[in-house]
Amino acid sequence: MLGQYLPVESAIHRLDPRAKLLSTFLLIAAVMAGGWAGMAIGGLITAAGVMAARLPLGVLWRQVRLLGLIILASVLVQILFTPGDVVLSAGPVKVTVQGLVSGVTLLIKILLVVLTGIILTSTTTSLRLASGIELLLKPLGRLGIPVHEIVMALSIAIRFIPVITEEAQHIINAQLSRGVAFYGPGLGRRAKAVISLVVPLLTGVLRRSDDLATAMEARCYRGGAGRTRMHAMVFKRADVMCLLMTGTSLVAAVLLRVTLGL
Amino acid sequence: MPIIRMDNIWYAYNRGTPIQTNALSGLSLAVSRGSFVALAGHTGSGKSTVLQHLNGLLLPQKGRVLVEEADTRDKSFRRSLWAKVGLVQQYPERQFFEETVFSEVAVGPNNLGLSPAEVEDRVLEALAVVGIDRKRARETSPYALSGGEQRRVALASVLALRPGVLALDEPTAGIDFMGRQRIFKALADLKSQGVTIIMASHNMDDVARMADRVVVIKEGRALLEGSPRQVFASQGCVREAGLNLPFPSEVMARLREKGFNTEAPALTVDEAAEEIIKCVGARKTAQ
Amino acid sequence: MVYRYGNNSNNVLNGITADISRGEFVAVIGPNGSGKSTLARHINGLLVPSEGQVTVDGMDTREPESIPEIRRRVGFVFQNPDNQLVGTTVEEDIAFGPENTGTSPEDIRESVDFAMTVAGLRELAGRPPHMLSGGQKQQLAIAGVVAMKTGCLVLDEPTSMIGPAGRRSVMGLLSRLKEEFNMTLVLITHHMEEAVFADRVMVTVEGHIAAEGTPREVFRSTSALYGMGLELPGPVELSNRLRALGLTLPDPVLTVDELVSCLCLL
Repeated sequence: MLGQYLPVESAIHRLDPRAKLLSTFLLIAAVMAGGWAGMAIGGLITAAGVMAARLPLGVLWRQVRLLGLIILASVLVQILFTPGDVVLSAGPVKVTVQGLVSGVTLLIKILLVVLTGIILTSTTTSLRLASGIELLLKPLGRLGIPVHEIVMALSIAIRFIPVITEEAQHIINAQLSRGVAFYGPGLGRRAKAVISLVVPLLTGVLRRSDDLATAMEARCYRGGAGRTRMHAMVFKRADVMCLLMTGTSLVAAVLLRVTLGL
Repeated sequence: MPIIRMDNIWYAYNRGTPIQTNALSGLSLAVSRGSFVALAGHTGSGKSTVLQHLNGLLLPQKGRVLVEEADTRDKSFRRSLWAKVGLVQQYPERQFFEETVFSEVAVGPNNLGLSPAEVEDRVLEALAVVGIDRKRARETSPYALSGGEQRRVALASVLALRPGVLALDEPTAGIDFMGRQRIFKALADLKSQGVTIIMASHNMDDVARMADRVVVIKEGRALLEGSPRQVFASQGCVREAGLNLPFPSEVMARLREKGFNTEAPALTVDEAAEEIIKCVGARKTAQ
Repeated sequence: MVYRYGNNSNNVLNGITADISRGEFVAVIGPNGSGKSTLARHINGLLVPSEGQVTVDGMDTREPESIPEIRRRVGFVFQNPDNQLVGTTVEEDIAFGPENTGTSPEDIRESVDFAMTVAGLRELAGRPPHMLSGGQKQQLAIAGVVAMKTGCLVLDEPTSMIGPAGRRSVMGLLSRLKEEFNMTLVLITHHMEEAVFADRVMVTVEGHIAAEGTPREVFRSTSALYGMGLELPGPVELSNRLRALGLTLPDPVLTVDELVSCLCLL
């Protein structure tokens, strides 16, 4: 599943979620704003991150594959629709040098962005991630934006993704067992199949959220005011190092591109 | 000739990932036509996975499943399998999406492509088996029923397929005493009509009461198989699988430990009472 | 007290009067729809009575300003193990309650460790809830209450969705909470063999208390319980049968242990 937390011990798991969030943004910025040098630096740091987080390659591959279609489509669009010097043509389809270059660039950039995202989510539980976001966004609270509530809702949504996924599979199985056709011909039948999944799934989600709201109330939850945290967040050396490294990479990537055109 | 045969089935979820879990590890099983087989095992023993193999929702990663001699890996056979082996999952009432009980039960028969008259016949028959009033069925939303009634409607929605084999996963989980009685009565009626029933359960009192064959499953393997009397005679094995003995067998086993001269693992309270009276009488004469 | 949903509907609870003392273990049994869950939800103010009143340590649940304090004293565990866990890991979930009451990080850490030890969840501290068994999820829900150091715990059919092994561990944990920490327990259940271990049993039927007393009084063959469509605990049923067949046995026999030792004495 995309963005699933992977419960293992690692240096990256132990980093402060704020440091991880900021570093992720810095790294993505370096990759997106930089040229080839930016991609190289980003690639190196991402690879180091994957190793430090002890993420099995199989897991990475499976998560990336989930986005395969979207990635492939955007790369193809770049390749096929960028004007320039034609190297290959078949009927109306023309492939240009510029298209190939920008296609490959895009592929690398998307992959790096996705990989950094995966490192972040597989090493940080959603509640920790949420508290990180909440602390980073705290200044917005002064503008009257309910930061805590939004973040809490998000983190609960993430906590329930595996539960709802399981429930969806359960319902699909039940409907398949009654001959509902999710695949195969017939638009009408397919529409009916979608309804047979969506209606019970929504009913279930509503029931769950109702239950959960009651349970949270019973556990003294009254919004963000007066709440404390078990993990008081303090930046440690590793967090500062991580930020320095990603920050430097952004500066380097931009400088190299602007000055040397790399 | 068994109606269902599973040969050395292996199945793992999330295969090849760090969270891979082996659900079935070389399970074999044969079910003869018209029997009531209980798959006894605690949560996570793999019994739900077995049931999903019966109607082709899952295919074995190794080994094979034969239903009426046909292999479930055969795609064209699988297309008709759902109606041959009716599967009632755990908490089946979570599948409801129609506006009335009647149309909910009609989903399966409609998908079989039957005529409206035939569909109606089957729905009414299924509702009768589970004891839901037909007039109410046309007027009420399935979500407006009580928990026990919802469970029975879900059961009827599979029975309306008239499956030759019925596979049930914990059919009485979370249902109160009276509700349980009604479900078991429906299952007994079906069995007497010749339907083959396979029920996964961790409630051994239910198993002792209903099944004529028990397969104890532990960690995806069949640990023990036999009649309820044979299976519940080997308490060690049942306990090893994380299960309790049925209450009457438990009492008799405890009395045996205390020196009562009894071999029979009673399956019902009546049997236990009869056996105890016999033993107490014998002890008194001996004294 | 009386409770009804909305104004014109029938009463779900129909004139209930009861006291629960500190340290007492009360089991509430009754058929589905008899109002036992509704009753449970009045104890910590999740519902407030339409007529009459409920007080917890002298605080009225109808007064909104008392509610936070009431919920610090009365914890609640629900039937569905999935729908009450908030945290993405065992540890985070247990911390949720103490975090809500503004406890300091050090104290939260200490309470969480204490609760994990009591509930036997130490090894699972970093595990996400969806990778726990049903029984472990309920142990976790109980641990979340233990971490808040409430004196009273209300459980609404906590074992109806889990297997026999999970049920044993949940019941084991409850008896530990009672014995070691003198916790007040209110257990709503439809498993009669669980009710047998309570100090007091209440039987609800159609919104009122139809029978009440120690398990011994309630399950006696002359009790009002008979004929209410409720299951009997196995030992009670078997001993009643044996008595009818002429054996001299006490009325009632509540547990298998008791039954076996009575029979050995014959």
